[in-house]
Formats: sequence, C-alpha cells, structure tokens
Amino acid sequence: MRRLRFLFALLLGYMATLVGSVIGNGSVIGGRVALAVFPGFLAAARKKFAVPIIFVMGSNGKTTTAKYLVHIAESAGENVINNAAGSNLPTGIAAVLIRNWRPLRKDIFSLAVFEVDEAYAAGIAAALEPEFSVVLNIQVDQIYRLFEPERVRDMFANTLPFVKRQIVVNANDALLVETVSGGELQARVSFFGLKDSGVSRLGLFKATPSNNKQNGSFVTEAATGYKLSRDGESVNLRLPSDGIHYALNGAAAIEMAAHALDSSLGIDALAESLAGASPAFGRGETFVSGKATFEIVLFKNRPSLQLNLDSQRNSADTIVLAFDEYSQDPSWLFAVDYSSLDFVHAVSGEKSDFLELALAYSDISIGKNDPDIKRVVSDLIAEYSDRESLHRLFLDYDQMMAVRSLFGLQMGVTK
Amino acid sequence: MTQLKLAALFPATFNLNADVANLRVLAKRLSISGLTVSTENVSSDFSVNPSDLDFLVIGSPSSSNLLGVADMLKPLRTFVSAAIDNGTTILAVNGGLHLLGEITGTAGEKLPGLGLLPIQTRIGGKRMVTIGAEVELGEYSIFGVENHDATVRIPDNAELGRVVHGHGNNHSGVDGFRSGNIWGTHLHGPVFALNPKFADEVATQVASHRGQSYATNAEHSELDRLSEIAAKHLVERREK
Repeated sequence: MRRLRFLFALLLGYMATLVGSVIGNGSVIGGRVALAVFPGFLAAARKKFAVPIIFVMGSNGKTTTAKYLVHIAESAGENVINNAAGSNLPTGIAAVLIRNWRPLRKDIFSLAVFEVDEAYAAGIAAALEPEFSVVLNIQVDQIYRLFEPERVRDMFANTLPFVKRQIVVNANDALLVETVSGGELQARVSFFGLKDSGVSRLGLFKATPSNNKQNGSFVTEAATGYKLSRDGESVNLRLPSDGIHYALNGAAAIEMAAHALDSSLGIDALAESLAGASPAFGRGETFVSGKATFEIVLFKNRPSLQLNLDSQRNSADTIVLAFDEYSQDPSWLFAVDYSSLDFVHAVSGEKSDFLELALAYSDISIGKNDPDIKRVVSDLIAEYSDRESLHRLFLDYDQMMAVRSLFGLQMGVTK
Repeated sequence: MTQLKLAALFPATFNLNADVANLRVLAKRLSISGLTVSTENVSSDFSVNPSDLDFLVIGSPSSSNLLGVADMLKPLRTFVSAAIDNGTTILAVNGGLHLLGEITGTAGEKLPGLGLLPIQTRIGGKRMVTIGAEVELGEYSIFGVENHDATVRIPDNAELGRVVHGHGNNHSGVDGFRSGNIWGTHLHGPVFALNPKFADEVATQVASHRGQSYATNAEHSELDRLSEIAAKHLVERREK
C-alpha cells in the first residue's frame, strides 16, 4: 500500500513539475504535490536510491557552502545532485528528487548535496538519513519565525543523531561545539573555523576561540589573503568572493569534501578546486553594463549584513541598500553598525523607510528613497554606463532576485 | 555644559531584538534638541556609576543569556537598585522588564530575577509574535513588534498602557509596567524610533533629571515623518 502511495505521489509530483515548468513555477510545485499526497514521500524515496547525502545547514552561508562543495565534488569527478535553487524545505528537496528520479534510480549520481532549513532539518534528516552533515553557524536570525538561537541549537541537536558517517561543525560556535560534545551521535565529528583570535566579529550568537584539540580545517588571515591548515599542511585560499565569512564557508566545504570524497585528494587539490568555483547567486556576483560594474551583495539578517558591510575592501562609487518583505520584523536593521558607510546613494525595497530611518539615526546621509529597486538600478545604468565605476548593491533575497532579473539572469546562473 | 549620561546594560547580550538601538535614538533626539549627551555600555565589571546615569536601557536577553546573569545577580541588583534610587529613567524591554521582578519557568522553577519591582513573570508558554502590535498610552498609541512567551502579572494601574493589538503582558489586556521613571514594554527593537511621541515623553523626563529642558525642532519633524511611515507599514502588515 505504501509503495502504491509512493508511486502515485511520484507520478502526481512529476506531472505537477511538468505543468509548473510550463507556467514558470517549476521549482517546488512537484514536491508540494507529492508531499500532500504522501507525507512519507521523502523516507520512501530514500529507500530506493543509494547515493550518499551531504546536508549543509546553518543560519548563514548554506547556499555558498553547498555551491563550493558541489564544485569541489564535480571537479573530483563526482556527479552531484543538489538543490541549487536554494529550495531547502521538504517540498524543495522532494521536488529535486522527483525531477531527477530516473537518474537517481539508475545510479547516475554519485553524491547528493542538499542545503536544509534548520526548522525542518530534523524531519528531513529522519527521512533521508544523510551520511554527512556540515553545520555552519548559529546566529540571531529570523526571530519572528525561529524565535531564539537556543531553539535553533535544539533543532540541530535533534538533527545530528540521524547523520551516519561524518559531521563537520564550526569550532568557533560555542552552541554547536556544545551540541556535538554532549549529544549521542553515530557519526564522527571534525571542525572548521578561524584559527586566529577575533572570533567576535564573525556574527555568531555565542563565539568561542578554536582549540588545538579540534581536528579539521582552520583559516588564518594573512596580509595577502587567507591560509588554510589541515593535518599539519597549509595552503593559500583563493576564494570566489572576498570576506572572512566566505573563507570560513570554503574551509567548511574543504573539510567536508576531505571526508566525503576520494581520500587521496590532498588539501592542495581541494583548495585549487575551490578557487575555480563561482559565487553563489547574489553573493559577490558582478555584472557589467558599459563601463559600470555592479556588485551584488546578498544579506539575510543582521550578522550577514554586518559581515558584508565590514568586509568591504575597496570603496564603491555608489552604495545601494534594499530590503523588503523577506524579514517580517525589521527591528534588527537598527542593531547594525553602518559606520563603514559614508553615504548611501539610495535605499530601496518595500521596507526602504525602515532603512532610511535606521540610517538617519546612525547619522548616515542618503541620496534618495525609492522602493523600486529595478528603477534605482536602471537609473544607475543610465547615469554611469559610460564611466568606469563600481556600484555595490546590498540586497536581501527578493531584491537580489529582482536585480538579477533586470540583468536578464535566471536563478542559479552566474555571470 | 551639563552632560546627560545615557547607558545600555550588557549591550552585547541584552540586545536580542535591537532594543539597545533606543539608546542611539534617544541620544540623537536629545542632541538635536541642543543638549549634550554621552553614552556608555555597562558590562559585568559594573564600572559605570549608576548614580550618575540619567537613562538606562535594559534590553531583552535570549533565554541562555538570562540564565547567564545568575552568577552576578547580587552586583546587578545593587547596580540597578542604585539607578532606580537615583531617579535614572529606565526603559526595560521584554526579558529586560521581566528581569526587574521575579521570573519562573514552565515547571514553576525560579529563574534569575532581581526582585526590585512588583512584576511576576512566568515564561515558557505559547510564543506570541505580533507584527504591528499597538499599545495605547493615554493620549497616543505606540506601535511595534512583540515576540515573547511570557505571562506577566503586575499590580493594578501599574501598566504602561492598554493593549489595542497584540498580547502585551498576556494578562489583563495591558502591556508593560510604568512607575515614575521606570518604563517597561514588550514592544521590542527600536520602539523610540518608531514612536517619537513616546521617545519625547521619555526624553523630557531624562533632560529634567539634570534640570534641562527638551524641545523638538524641524530636524525632529523630519525624523518623525519617517517614523510615521515605518509604523504605518507595520500596522498594514498585521495578520488579518
């Protein structure tokens, strides 16, 4: 009976995917239909394919780390299935499985990399029983939905016991270190993190220095960039996007890859492979219009906006900040230190007024407040295309998608 | 010139929802009124003199950060008590408000509380999240966001205001606590930035603590225009 329900859900999900792709809503609709018909769809599906699964979880950096990991794995010859579109809820993962069901069944894929939302992680892990898992960080994030960081810790604590072989966690995150120290886990644990002092700027809810007893991949900051050390070896990191948070995402990806891929791959090869990855969509991507360069910096919450503001190495001709309905509670905008900005050319998005108010109380002047981000960017293109110039756009998710569409790019495609 | 001294208690950990931003907002409003202002952070060494403060914001900690004050309750009680005795204006938000009284957990266990004010809080109930929460304070209402799981009992007529939308204390249809120089609410984050009338009532009290007078001008009006739009935005997004 369960088998019939599964096949029925798979068939309906597949048909919904086909219809969805025609009407332009194909990313999760198939998964939504399949789970509605058969809530046990993920667990039943897992019994029918043997591909090892890596979960990538955390408050920030999931998409970037998953993208790095997929690139490293593919460079090593793996054929990877993943939820590249960032559909990290059960419906999104079910949709990916449905779209790729035939190759999954025929063992065409050799590895699965899924980024997973923390609120749904335990349920998805119970169903899919992943072999591997990376947990990046616990930050103050979407309090209106996730409530307190301690609750997010409990979500990970309920998820990690389902992981079978290897867990990689952030050595600088006190809550995560505590979680893997105290929990009854079937998987082994290793770490990634920042070797140096100064962990307080990483935006973690509870930061702690790493220690020498932790095995794993650790980043140190050098004058010329970042170095990564693992098992007594050290290598320079070349990153697709600049910033300490990207270096840590890279370290997490390399540490996971070192366990999940061919063990003969050394740290040199893994770092070389990482250098060839492209940024995840919206994370430091640049687009050019005439002589003007537009750099998109995605922010999701207070720690990610702060890290991105503090990571700016070169000055831009214009700065744009845009924020909309993605975060229902905009309170955190007022906890950000905007002092790295001299002037903001425009604030935009549905919640542009909150940005203007927060900047006004931070003594940062703005040029204009226009809720329409496409109009703001179009105006910049018209004004600057004939001039060598750099325009840095700090955007939340929906605003980033709007700007990408303006540049004619579909989700997941990078320039 | 007389300087007004403003401070935030444990701004790194008692700031879950950006409550500490109220310090910056109040400082700016006082400053553009022509008053001289300084701001400081109160850390666990309590090196700031509480008897020298005109304003103290006590923001909301997360649950583990609330438990974290257990080993410093005595010096913390001494510090806050001295500030209250000094007539320091205090804005206490959410967990920061609960901390001023007594707190119990879901099983009735006693949690860290200063026991300085008649505020009885039980935490660990159903989580209440309200975008566009509204509390009426006599002649005007304040707007914001609430997100907590507490039931708060206070003496009759000791509330900050009447709940128009949301849950407030989750008891008796009121929100917060008000007694003289103490202002407590569950509206978290930049409540002063969103509610300039509220900020100005508090600013007037803060200024008068040093014999100063507070008056608004055109620069305040420009900020207030933005506040009105932002508060309206939250109200429009209330769940129907």
